[in-house]
Amino acid sequence: MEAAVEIANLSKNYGKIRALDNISLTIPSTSIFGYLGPNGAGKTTTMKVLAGLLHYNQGSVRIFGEEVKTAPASQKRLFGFLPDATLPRNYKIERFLRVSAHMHSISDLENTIRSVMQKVGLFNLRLRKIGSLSKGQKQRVGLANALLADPPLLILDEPNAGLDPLGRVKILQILKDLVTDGKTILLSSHIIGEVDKIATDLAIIHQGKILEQGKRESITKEILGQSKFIVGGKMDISRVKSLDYIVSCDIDHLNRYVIQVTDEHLSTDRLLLDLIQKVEAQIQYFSSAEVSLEEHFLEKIKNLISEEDSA
Amino acid sequence: MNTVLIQFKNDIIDEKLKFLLLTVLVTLLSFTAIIGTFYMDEIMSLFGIENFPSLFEPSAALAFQDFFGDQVLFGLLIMTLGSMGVLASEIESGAISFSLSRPISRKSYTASRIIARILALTLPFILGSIVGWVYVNLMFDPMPLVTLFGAMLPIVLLFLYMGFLTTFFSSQMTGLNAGLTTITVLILQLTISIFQPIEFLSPFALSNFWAEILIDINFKWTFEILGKFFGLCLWVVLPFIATLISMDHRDL
Ligand SMILES: Nc1ncnc2c1ncn2[C@@H]1O[C@H](COP(=O)(O)OP(=O)(O)OP(=O)(O)O)[C@@H](O)[C@H]1O
Ligand SMILES: [Mg+2]
Repeated sequence: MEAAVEIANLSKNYGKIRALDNISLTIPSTSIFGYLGPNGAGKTTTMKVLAGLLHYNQGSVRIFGEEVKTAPASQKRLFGFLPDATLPRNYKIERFLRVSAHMHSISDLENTIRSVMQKVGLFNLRLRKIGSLSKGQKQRVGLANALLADPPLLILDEPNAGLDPLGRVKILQILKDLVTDGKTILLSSHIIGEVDKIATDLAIIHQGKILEQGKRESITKEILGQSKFIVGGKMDISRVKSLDYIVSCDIDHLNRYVIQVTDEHLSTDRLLLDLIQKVEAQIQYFSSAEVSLEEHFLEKIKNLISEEDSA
Repeated sequence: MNTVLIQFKNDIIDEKLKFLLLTVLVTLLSFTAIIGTFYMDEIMSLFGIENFPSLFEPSAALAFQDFFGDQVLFGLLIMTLGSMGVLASEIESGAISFSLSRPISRKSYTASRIIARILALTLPFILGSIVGWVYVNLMFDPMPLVTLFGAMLPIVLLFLYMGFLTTFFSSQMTGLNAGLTTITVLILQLTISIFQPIEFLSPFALSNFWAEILIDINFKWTFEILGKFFGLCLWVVLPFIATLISMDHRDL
């Protein structure tokens, strides 16, 4: 099946700042593509290039096979975009959406606007001016605007920003439903836990470079086989590391030992016994924990930064 | 065209108070000019000037000359102030990302946005003039509507010139905008007037045929006036095209 988005060797400079450094990304059709990276990584830049707001220095960017640079304005019918930007303040929600709907030449205007407002939970606020809304409410207006024309691709720049927990769950559910309807969704976030739950595909970007991309399972596979223990007390780290099933042993910010082991099924008793007998550790408390994608991600970036520092 | 109308409607709805106020202000200005012309002798004698040499009989043409003379200054100011932030503020706040994610090309959006704004700013002037025209016809000999529109044309073009020049700078930067526009206009005007033979090519010189139209009852489109008209159109189109091109090449 044709990819929804195909980015090849894309670079983008802002003056001297290199925001995207030769990135390549493929977003398969009907996927929820989580685009992850810390602040300033280049997520917004990538999305703005896709939306045709930025001119790029080199590379090729295709949406449903058509190059963005040379595409006619009608290409924008293929995607809805939620930018990380301020909405015009002095519009009422309903009028803002109506102007959008007009430009998309939506035929069943009133019903479409009503249903999209109901979907994101804005219907009761429809006559309020956008400038008077809370952050999360504004975010919903932006989302409604992106969903309005029912496009096959959604490009959402931090759709969860500013939303309360209930709002987040609702949005995630809306996105899941959309994918079931055959849509493709690209969404960015620097909070991995959010994307982790629904994404089918992931890419991690850092300082304008893609560190990793692929199916969610293949990225999480290497971490799924591991488990982690948190131990309070006193012990010799080098002796812990000498145990043959240990991946890593570090001290966290609470002065606890974080021990990661290769075997998912390693029993707690076995580790506890080894720590007491072989390492001669003094243990105050002991608990097991899951390795999350978040930690995997942070680990990746941490390694990269320490490589840069030592270089 | 459709998008121009949508934007135009939005501009007027958003700023309905200012729009109304502007129309009322222009209408008032036209009334003062007309009444001032009609009671010229009385006003003069109020200041103790009797037997004022009546070079001109108070007439509709004189009243409108007075009114349009004010309008050129007032209108240019309004055009500059009113079209100042039209693109720059949207770019600054990022709101333009929302506008441009709709199926419309950058050029069309830019064009419709500024044309709509400039029309919205010009409309009060046209409305005020028409109200003034009705009033003039009550007080003086009737003036043909064609004459009114003929005289209005170069002034409206001058407004467009000023508006497009402002939006050109406003697509580049938010602050400094009015200043840059004014300075550019002044420098242009100065440069042109240094070269005496081409002085008549400045937009302000080219636009002065409105006065001729008003004075001459049997006004006809001569080659000279047509030439001035097209010259003025060129002044209008240049900054407009420059804006479209610069917007097309920008990162937003
Ligand atoms: N208009 C601009 N001019 C100059 N540099 C810019 C501009 N916009 C972004 N940058 C730089 O480009 C890099 C990528 O920025 P970008 O906004 O794409 O990051 P991001 O991943 O979206 O971050 P965040 O999570 O904070 O939204 C950053 O180093 C940023 O400073
Ligand atoms: Mg961003």
